[in-house]
Amino acid sequence: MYAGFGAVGKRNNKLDIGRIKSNPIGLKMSDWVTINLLPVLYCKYTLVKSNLVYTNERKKIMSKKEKKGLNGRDLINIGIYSAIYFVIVMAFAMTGLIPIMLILLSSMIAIVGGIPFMLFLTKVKKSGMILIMSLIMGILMFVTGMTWMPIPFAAVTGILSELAYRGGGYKSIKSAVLTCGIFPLWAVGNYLPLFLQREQYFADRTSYGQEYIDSVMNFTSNWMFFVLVIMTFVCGIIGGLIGKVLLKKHFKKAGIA
Amino acid sequence: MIKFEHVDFTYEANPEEKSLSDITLEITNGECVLLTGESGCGKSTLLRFLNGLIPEFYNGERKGKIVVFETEISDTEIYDFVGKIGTVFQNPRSQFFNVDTTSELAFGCENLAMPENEILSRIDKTVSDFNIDTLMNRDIFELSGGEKQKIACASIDALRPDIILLDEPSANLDYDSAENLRQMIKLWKSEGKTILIAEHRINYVWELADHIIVMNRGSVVRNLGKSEIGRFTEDMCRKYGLRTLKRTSPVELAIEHKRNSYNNEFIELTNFSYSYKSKKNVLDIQKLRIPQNKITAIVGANGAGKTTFLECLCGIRKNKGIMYLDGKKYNSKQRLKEIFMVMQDTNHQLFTESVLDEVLISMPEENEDRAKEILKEVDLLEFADRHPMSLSGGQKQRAALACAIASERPILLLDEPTSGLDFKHMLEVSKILNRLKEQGRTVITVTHDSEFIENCCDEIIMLNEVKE
Amino acid sequence: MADKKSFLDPRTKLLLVFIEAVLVLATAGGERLVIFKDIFAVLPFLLLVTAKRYKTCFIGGAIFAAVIFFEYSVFPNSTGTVAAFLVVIVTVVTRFLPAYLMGSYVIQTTKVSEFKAAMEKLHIPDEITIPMCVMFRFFPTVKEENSSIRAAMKMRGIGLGGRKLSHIVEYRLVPMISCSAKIGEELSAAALTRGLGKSRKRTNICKIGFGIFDYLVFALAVVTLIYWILGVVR
Repeated sequence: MYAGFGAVGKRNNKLDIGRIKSNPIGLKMSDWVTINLLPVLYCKYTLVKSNLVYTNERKKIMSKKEKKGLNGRDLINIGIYSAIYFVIVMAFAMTGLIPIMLILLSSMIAIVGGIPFMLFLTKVKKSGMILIMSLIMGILMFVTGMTWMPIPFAAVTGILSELAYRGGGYKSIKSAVLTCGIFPLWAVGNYLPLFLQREQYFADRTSYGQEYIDSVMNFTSNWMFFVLVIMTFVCGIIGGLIGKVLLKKHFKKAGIA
Repeated sequence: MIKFEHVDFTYEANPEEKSLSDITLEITNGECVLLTGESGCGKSTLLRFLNGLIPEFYNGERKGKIVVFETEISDTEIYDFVGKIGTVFQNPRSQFFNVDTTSELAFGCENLAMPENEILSRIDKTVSDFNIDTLMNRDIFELSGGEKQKIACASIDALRPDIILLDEPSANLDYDSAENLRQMIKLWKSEGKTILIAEHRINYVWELADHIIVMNRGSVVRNLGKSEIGRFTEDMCRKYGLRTLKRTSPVELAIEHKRNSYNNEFIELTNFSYSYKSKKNVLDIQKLRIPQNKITAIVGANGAGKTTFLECLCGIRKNKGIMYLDGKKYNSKQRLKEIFMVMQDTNHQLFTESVLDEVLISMPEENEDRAKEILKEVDLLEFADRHPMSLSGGQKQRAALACAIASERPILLLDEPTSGLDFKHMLEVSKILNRLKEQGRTVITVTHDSEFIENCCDEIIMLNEVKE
Repeated sequence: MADKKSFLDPRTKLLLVFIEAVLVLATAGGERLVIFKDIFAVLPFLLLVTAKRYKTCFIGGAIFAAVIFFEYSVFPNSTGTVAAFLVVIVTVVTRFLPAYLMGSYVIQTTKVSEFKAAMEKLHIPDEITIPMCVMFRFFPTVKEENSSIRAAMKMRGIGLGGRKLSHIVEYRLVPMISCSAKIGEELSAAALTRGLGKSRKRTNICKIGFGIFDYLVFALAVVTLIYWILGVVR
């Protein structure tokens, strides 16, 4: 499938491969894809590769006591909080069946998800945990039928979240709230198919008339994507602030944080 | 050979209290050791040293030397002892890692990278030894508490460890399941394994023990060998705050109990029946009379629908049953306001910021002075500002009872209020229930604790398992 | 122990989800692959029937049928915002539903141990497999905690309706998270004492492998792919 995308080449580059006479996909999407997807995949690839190298090096050098990689307890924690996070988030996502709510979905997820996520961050003391959780969310989206696009998208947002939290030394509350803003962007990955292929959605429905198509196209134009990103980020911050209050009020006193 | 030499320990989470003080002990191979004492005496802490949870899971300050398998513990990790030391924990619901039973049995062996044939043959042997063929290839979430604990023991057995640690394994089990557990421990003992059991509920394992260690506040107060065990009396149990040695089944108590003819009023229940999707007719009660202003115990075999009965009575589960009280008729929805239920897992009921808030919220009209009075009655006044989730098990139980008192509802239901409680706390619960009785309330409690029944219950009702 | 082979290998199921997503959802291939698109759109319903998940199949089928009804009868006659609304609903549902149903099929018919075996065969690192397995095992626990808390709230007379949003959060969300986290801690301790660590070799007694139905699916996928490539190249 990638052969189709990549082989088309960039439009501005006069690289005409010659054999390819007609392309039913449409150049515009492949532009998007090559511009956005390939670098993302490359990032993911280098990350996985460097992780492997890191693991190998660690096995050689580290003695038993100096384990700095993720141990069994960390992995279990990721699983537990992913489960809690996902159940909470999905409970609210069920309202997404109403079309209006679909747009607000990622923002809602960002707010409610912030609460368990802040608790999770108190257990994160090493790098990789946030990224894995983000990837798991992406994989879950794939398995529930939302295409593979959320996965690399979640990889990128996961890496950014890692950097945000790591910047605060895994301790600072401010960076925790910031991370709460970035992490939920994995949910925006779900909208990618809608944005990238909206022409295809409506191509075979020209019978509906151009004005209908236009009005809906307005909803899904490119800048809308960035609006969603910003909305989700802001709602994530709000979720993080709520999580911060609850941490202090309940979780720390209960001895769970 | 297990040796503790002058071991001290203080948990990081609890720096003011020393959990272990100068413990020196020796345990020979093949011994079955019972560790007991009041809550907080340190018996679980000892076990955590052996399976490695201290220091990897529980941080704290440690002094002294501990030797197991001729190695000193400070040089080892949890992983080093996985095939050699197995631990069975208290909560059946949080021990299993897989969703189906067969995978659960294989789990430990898989982690040790044993070849598949080896694992399968071990599973076969364990299944036949423990007689759990009917539990194989099933969804663990569908099993009862006793069955889950059986699977937990079986999965440890598959690892064939030399030392088996059990940390209050019977706390959430009813009488029959505890007997089953006893059989499993007996089997392990016959295989020559070294067994350490930390327990409050000592009656079901007392006779199996070769060596009994009684602890109090982090120190060993009695260290009994085989000959001395026989001479340990019931009164000595009282002295050390231990539970009874007598093993009586609650069903026996129910059969022996003579029904009193009370002049008091009765609560009459009619037409209580309930079916689950998976199990038909879990509950089928045509008519039942429960005396008012008394404490009534509900006993019965597992699966007889006791918890379902409480939930239907309370109104949490919608059903068609009717309750007649003081001449008035109450249906499921109306009963919600008249009945307060303290659930088996108190964690589900406590959700506010402080114990005081918890009581205030339960009152029909918030009154801080009255709330503080109630806290004083249950001996929790000093904890008024503490977060409910940070309390110990016994304290949470009392907090839930405080809410029941504050609600001013005439009928109180309790689901296994004394499981996992030591003698002192069980008495406290009995005391509170008696006081509620004096205040004119009716108390109905589901329990498998015979000592508790004898202590404070006026009436016993047995629910029979409905035969299809 | 008898090995119960599922109908399809978990890896095949993942492949199917992928194809569903690309073909039906993302509509790769355009007009040429309409036949294949339709085949794959119907496939989830067939599979659900083989798995005896009649309820899901029925509900999914009903929604699909309703939406197609809207598309062909109601829509052409409506105007303005209603029509815009309908366009969105129709396209969203017809695109997303088959993929979603395929996803439901996969989730409902794959056991956690099979999933773990598939992950290991695909050489996906432990760092992803272990958390995912823990997560699947933990879902029912979180739901159990939630329903127990709901029952407790009902008994105490603290309902959801008409109350402040902060109450909903504090009285339902916080206890659920607290209880689940506590159980999670106990689970960690138990799993660690049974040898769960990272980067150690592990074996798996759950057997998965390809059967005839898997090969049929592969054949179908390959045919679709060839057809598509031919269309692109020509």
